[in-house]
Amino acid sequence: MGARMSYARPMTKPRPVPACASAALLGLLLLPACFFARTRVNEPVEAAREVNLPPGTPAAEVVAILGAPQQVVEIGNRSAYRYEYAQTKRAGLSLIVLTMINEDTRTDRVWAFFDEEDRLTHLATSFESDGTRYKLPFQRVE
Amino acid sequence: MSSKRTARKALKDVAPKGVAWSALGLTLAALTGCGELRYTRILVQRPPASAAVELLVPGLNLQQCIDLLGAPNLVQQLANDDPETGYLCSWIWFKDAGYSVQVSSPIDSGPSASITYASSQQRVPSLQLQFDYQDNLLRFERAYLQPEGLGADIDRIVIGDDD
Repeated sequence: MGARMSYARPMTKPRPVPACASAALLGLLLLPACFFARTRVNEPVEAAREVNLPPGTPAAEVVAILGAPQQVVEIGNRSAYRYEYAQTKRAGLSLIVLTMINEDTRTDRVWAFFDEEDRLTHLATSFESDGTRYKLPFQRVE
Repeated sequence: MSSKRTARKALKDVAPKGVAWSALGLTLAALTGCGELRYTRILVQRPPASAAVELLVPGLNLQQCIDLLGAPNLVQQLANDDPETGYLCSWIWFKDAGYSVQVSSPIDSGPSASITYASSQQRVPSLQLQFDYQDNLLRFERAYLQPEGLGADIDRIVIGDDD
């Protein structure tokens, strides 16, 4: 009968988890808690950027180029047409019972002012929707 | 040794060290269905550049104001019965941040309860320019709109001295 051999593991300290692995694990755990969403209202008013509409342009021509306005405002016997495209970006982080959400909305706006004979007098444009950002509430926005 | 102390010692022997933390984590995870603390920041547009606002003076025409501030958000006629009455152009922006706490009890067979608390401002700052019928700037001011007043009559405007 041979001698029974016994194996005993030496007592070793558990190896510490590297910091980068811990950070990666934490990052992976947090990733499903993030969400992003984008909402757009109307179509971009690209034609107002590309086409030159000088004063005196008939309202019919403006509508043919820019499309139907979202709003027509009467100013006495004159009128003003509004075109608007809005973009909203939402970013959020949800951690167990705490949820943080940031919502940023900016618009492209075009106002066409017409005289009593429906001829363009002023064209006001602002294109700001590209400045919309995905940010969390604690991040600075310009 | 008392029986209470014996039981505690027995539990300590059986349960690994992280059990308390695991129990706490599970409790928190279960609570997510009942309560939520939410912090929300809402940004709509940006205020006009203060350098541009400083250049505003009564007497400027509509084109000069548009060149300074860009396109307005709202254009409103001041009075419907007089076609010679001027109009109002408004630049509107909004920035708000606040907490809301919601606690609810999702009990099917019994009474359910929900409590919500929210803190946020309900005023919308704006810059308003009033023009006469010849498109000359008469006056301008910073004003606050109530949210339901957006695009409605200007009687709801509350004059403020802040941004």
